[in-house]
Amino acid sequence: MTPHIAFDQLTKKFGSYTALDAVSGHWTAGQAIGVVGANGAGKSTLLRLLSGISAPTSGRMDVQGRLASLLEVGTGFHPELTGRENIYLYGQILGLRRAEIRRQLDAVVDFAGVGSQLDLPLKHYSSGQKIRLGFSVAAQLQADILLLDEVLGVGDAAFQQQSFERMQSLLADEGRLVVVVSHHLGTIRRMCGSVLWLDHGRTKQFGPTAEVLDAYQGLDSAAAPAPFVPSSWVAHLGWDRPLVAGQPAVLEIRLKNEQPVARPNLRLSLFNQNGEFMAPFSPVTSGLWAGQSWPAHAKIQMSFDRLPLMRGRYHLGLRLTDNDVELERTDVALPFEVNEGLYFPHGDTFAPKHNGVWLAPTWELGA
Amino acid sequence: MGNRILALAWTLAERDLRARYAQSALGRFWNLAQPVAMALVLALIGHRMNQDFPASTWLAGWVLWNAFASSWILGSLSLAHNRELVTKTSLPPLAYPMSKALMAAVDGGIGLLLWVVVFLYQNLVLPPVGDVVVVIVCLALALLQGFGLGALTALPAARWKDWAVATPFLAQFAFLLSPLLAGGAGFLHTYTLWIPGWSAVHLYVQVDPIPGHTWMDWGTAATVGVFLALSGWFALHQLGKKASDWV
Repeated sequence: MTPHIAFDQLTKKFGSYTALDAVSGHWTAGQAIGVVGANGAGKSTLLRLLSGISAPTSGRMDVQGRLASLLEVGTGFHPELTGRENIYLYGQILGLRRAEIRRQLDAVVDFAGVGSQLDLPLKHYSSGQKIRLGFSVAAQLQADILLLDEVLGVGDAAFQQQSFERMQSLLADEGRLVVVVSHHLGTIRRMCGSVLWLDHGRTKQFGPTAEVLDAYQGLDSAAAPAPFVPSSWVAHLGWDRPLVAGQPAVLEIRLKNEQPVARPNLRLSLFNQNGEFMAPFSPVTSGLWAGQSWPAHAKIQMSFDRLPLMRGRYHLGLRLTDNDVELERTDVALPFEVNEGLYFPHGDTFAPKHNGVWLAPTWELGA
Repeated sequence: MGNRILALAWTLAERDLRARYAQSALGRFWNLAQPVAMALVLALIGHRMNQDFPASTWLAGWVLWNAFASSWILGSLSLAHNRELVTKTSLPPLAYPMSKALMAAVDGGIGLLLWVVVFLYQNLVLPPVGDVVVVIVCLALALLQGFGLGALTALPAARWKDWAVATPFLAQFAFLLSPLLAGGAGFLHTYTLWIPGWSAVHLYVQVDPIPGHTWMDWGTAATVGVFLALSGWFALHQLGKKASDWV
């Protein structure tokens, strides 16, 4: 029988909270399906149900074919075991047989690039190396149905490209069904033929990728920009005015801690509308306030004399640590829109079809 | 399916066994030394308390009880303690308590080797084949009963944290009442064969006033083990997916 997943009126409730509300679908081999939606839309819940990790509260589901799910890279890794031992362990957890792992060990090690450290305990690996190792094992999965939850955006840029190419080669096998959950809309756009858009646990739209993603992103622009939701550490995050390319702009952040932050590190990340990382900002990397504590209700401002962003939609991610302990981490902390404006005094010569950054290098003309 | 669960259970058990003393200076030596030292000390203390039983008998009794108790307690906590795997992977829930029973089996095997050595030291001969078979069968019964009870209580322990905390205490109380310490247990002896864990020890140390055991006695203990194991399997098979919502 052709590998497929069919589900009908799938519902998952946690007490009175409905995480997934009567979602239906029928996906068959040869398809690559993207699942998008805001945080809490039910994407991961859907994958957990389809993987058989959790049972639906109601609804029917039929899965035909060998299914493998990768909901988190490196689940089950043990820090005291060596890289080699963890490859075998993780491979078996994912459903590979020992003989299969032994056959593919060299490929895994090459892909992860950890050859010289293979027999060192995992606790001596960097977090990036652990992620590479986990993904490299998972990339060897030979399943009919592959469910992936936010695992393609891991690692550095080079590894992300390597992972993406590996997934493309898996997709080239037409007998496979791949379901990808991701906030990286660029990845979804490049990989998937169809997209399911979930909103508050319900199906908002299902159809061809371009159609659904355009609608998904269009909705963001039609609605007022989503305000920052105050958290336990950050009371406010927002721009001081509507943003125009090339015009001044100030981002203000206000903390609301009970005590001063002893060794703070604030990192902001800029993403474009496809969820692709564009630039980092941090006072520490700018050489400011190193080793200096912040007051409990610190007010921080990041200013641009001329905002170097092209017209388009972006979002900021935020990470706040104290003495390397993570206090706050939000991938989509603040969505915002930049309106068209003149960045260069002599006029812009690029039609801003995509989001981008204006750079102002020094030019020289020689003979 | 059964083979896959067993293979996964062994993978998890192997992970925990390898990791237990990994990176310590004496490494896997501790895997051997730790249960051996514990069993030896308790056997000697037990023998001092009740000299009707030789130290080797106390030792075997302790190994059997320990196999039962650790497969029960660790099995009961296995879902709650593997939250990451339970919520992120589709491993069959039965593999978790089974992995703990396999770990207990490894410790039990080491304990039985020690029993042979102590028997040899006491009697200057190896234990008779019949005794060895009895001990091995009793160990299998203890593991079966412990695994069944662990599988049966793994979901409650994942759902109600109080249950998870209370389980080790229950095991300690059960040990205090066990035929190993009760040494005959008087009014309890009639029912001992129906009590998980006790029956395996009971069959070995022969606290029953009637010497020897009938097939019925063995059958009773085996029935308890099979019943518990099947109940545990059924509970996790039917409700195991709840674990990812509960842990």
